[in-house]
Amino acid sequence: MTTSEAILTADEAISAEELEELYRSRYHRFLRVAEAITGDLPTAQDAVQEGFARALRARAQFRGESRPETWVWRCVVNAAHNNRRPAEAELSDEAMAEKPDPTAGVEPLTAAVIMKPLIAALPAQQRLALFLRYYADLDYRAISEVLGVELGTVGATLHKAHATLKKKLEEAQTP
Amino acid sequence: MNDTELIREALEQHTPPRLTAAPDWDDVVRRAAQTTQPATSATLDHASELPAGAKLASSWRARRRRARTPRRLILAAAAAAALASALAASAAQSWWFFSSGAGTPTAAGSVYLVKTGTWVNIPWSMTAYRTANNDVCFGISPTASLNSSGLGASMACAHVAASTPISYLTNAQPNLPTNIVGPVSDQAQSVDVTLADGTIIHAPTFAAPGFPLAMRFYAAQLPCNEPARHVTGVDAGGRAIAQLDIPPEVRPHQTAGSSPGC
Repeated sequence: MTTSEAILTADEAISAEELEELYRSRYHRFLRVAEAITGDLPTAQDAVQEGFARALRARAQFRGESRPETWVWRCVVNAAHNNRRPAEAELSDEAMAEKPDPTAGVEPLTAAVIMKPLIAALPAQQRLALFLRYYADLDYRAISEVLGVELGTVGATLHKAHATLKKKLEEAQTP
Repeated sequence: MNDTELIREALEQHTPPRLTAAPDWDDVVRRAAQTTQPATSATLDHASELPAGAKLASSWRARRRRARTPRRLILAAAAAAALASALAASAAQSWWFFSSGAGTPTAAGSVYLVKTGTWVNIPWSMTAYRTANNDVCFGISPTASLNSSGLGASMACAHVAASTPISYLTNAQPNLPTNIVGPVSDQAQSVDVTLADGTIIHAPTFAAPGFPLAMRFYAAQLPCNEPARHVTGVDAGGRAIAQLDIPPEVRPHQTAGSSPGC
């Protein structure tokens, strides 16, 4: 009995082989989104493993409401949200109000340093939409299935995320 | 750099790709095979022989002291069970042996589906788990009742170590052909089952992927009217590395027509 041998049911919508193929071919995308959610690599790795394990266990219950791959993305995203460290992804408005001091004599702030707290301060759905778009390279339909929103909402969500980040970036850069 | 490019660059740096991180599908399979906690106890099937919980535990301990006969147990319960080690085909459910109320030793970790097979067109499933003190509890069940009543199922527990590198459970009842199953040293490539008439049945051993104890397992159908006399673990070089005698009082014996295949 191999480790990938499956007990298949007659009406199975996703085979274990398909899940394994998805896992192997897209592992680093799943990992990147999971790390963006959880904030650290070991937790993200665990989330990816758990997400796929859940998909593997429950694949007979998949009812085809979405594409199989986006269903798996939901499993992994949910696992990442369950695993993520509390209180590090959210920033108060007060924390957001602190501006970098260009006279402090430190290395110039990179885009990442500036943007990280801004990204963290985004509403959760906007943040996740960004991760799925930029890190997972999912199309709008897939993002809508993962987020559980209407297709038209995805574009608006991403637009809002960009607009918020631009606004916060301008505020951060204003002397 | 405009704002959009700045956002894109920031996202690239926010969570860079971890291209050196290695995927581990075997670990996914192991995690998927892990069950949840067993369900609460259910009513017992009084149509089967049901040793009391204390009997099960004491016979298991007695077996350790004597390093001998695993008790032949027939436990049944009304709860459903999930399959492990391979892939669970349904949501987490309780194992029949935990739901029987017979005081089954608690599992320290997952219950594993060690092997499935078919004898006389009857699908069967062999399960095993580790206890807190590193004993192995192993059982065999018709697959149909593994998922529901446990009817026709049996289980035993034993300590498999250098001093006692093999154990067995021999089983004969109407729902499953006469058989012998058990754990054996991980050095054993096969198990020879010697019958009362001197016939030897050679049964290959098999591993249970991810099982937390270093051991292999075996399962063999036995003829109806020739009980097993002893079991011998054999390594890859043909050398006997483990042997247990099966006392006459625990050798199952079936008459024609009393079980499948007889």
